[in-house]
Amino acid sequence: MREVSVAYDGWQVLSPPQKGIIFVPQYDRNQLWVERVNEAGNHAEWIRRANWDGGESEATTFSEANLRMTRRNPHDARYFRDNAVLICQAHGWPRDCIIEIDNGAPNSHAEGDGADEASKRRQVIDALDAQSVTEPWSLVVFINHGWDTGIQMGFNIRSEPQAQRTREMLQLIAERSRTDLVLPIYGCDTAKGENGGEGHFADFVRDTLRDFGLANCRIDGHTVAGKAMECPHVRRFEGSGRGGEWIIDPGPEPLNPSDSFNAWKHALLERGADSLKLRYPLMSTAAIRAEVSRLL
Amino acid sequence: MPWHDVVQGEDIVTIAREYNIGNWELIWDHPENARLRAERDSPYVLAPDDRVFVPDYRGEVVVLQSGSRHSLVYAGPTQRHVRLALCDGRRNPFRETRYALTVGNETVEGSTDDAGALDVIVPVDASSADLTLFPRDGNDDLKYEWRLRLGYLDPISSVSGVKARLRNLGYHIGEVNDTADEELNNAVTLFRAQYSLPVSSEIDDDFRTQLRLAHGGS
Repeated sequence: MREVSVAYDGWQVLSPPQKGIIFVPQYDRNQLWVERVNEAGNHAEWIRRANWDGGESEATTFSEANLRMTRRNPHDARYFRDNAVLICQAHGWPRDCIIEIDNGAPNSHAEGDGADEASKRRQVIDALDAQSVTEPWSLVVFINHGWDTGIQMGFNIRSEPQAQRTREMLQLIAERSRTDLVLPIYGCDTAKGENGGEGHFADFVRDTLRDFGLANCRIDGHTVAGKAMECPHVRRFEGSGRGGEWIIDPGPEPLNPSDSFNAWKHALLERGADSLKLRYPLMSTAAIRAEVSRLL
Repeated sequence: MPWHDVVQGEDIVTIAREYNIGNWELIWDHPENARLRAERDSPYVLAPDDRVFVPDYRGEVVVLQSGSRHSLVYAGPTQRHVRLALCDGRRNPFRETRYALTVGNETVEGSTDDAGALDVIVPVDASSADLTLFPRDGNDDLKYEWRLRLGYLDPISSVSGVKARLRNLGYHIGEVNDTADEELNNAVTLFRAQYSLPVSSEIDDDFRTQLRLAHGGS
């Protein structure tokens, strides 16, 4: 039970505590490396995939006898987890709110980032199931790779069965969350598309959570591929709208963005526990724009 | 004896009661307490170690006829209000939301009003109350629970007063004390950002003004 100090007789505000959960993959496979081994099974060399394509045809890599999936990207800076830790620091959360999903298992489904999609989904579902329903979340964070139809954690909307699995996961979140849940997806492309990204993954998440009763939920998603935490192309999906709205509009000329967009872009590159990239999901769009305008 | 050193949990009303003074304004409005009034906006929010002048008060003089039976009523307050505006992290009120407030063995159940407010009368000597809010109809498993330490809110001029208010607003503040720690810095930074103040961890006048507005009370 949360202890709070109250004055007699006067009116004062009381709000539930912020509580969060952060999902990150254990291994950064943005630039997937595989390991060639010799006949004795010892390391021979690292081989880098030329292009990561959202993971549609990963399986062929593993059919070759002398290649094995690396359990650890040798160039892995633990980018996702490091940023999850920073979020914990910024909000004063315990580290055990970070849920690391093991994405190291080879994938036989030719879908996703090389790990077994069902395994990842199961891990996410199990983690959600294990959480107490008595004190709901205010913030659920995904830091992972993404694309316009899904996220690295194994959830996508490419087909109706896949969308249904995603709905089931979102229902678990909705049952454990406040109606004003904030759900940033730090990852590529989930808010991509015409009409504010309508019909794409972030829009689907907002619509589904709203249907499950989270009337005031807020989803942030990216419209391009880029560094997950520092990408400035962010659309926000709130309330009963269709599609999302730019937090800071990049303008019609991508090569010549507005001063505001440049300021926002540079602010997101800042490091430290008080940096904007860690705070902005919990800020209103107006407050973000006010902060960016002071940087001009 | 006329000067009383305030301890945590006391306000002018509880002090008046301790000295059997029915009208607490006799203390608050006393000229010796002018400095206290200037420092504290409200008689309901005092800081530990504040000094309060308690005038020598011998009670009201009443003339009673001998040989008759009389009823005398204590003039001081016997009940107090717990007044809360309950809202989520984005200041959306919990409208018409069911709650239960327990003081001792007594539980009051009700619903917040259209502005998310509740106003519950508690005994004057109650020092704590347990509040449970059920934000979802039909799902009593999902709830918020608070232990309200009544009369424990320190003035906003103190670090502990700032911490307590941020904690009440849902920010992550561990122990409410007078230590300016990293948790406080992070919460102040986030609060300032959310309320469009220049971003820093500084607790300045602008911050306190905004915090007072956001939190309410004094």
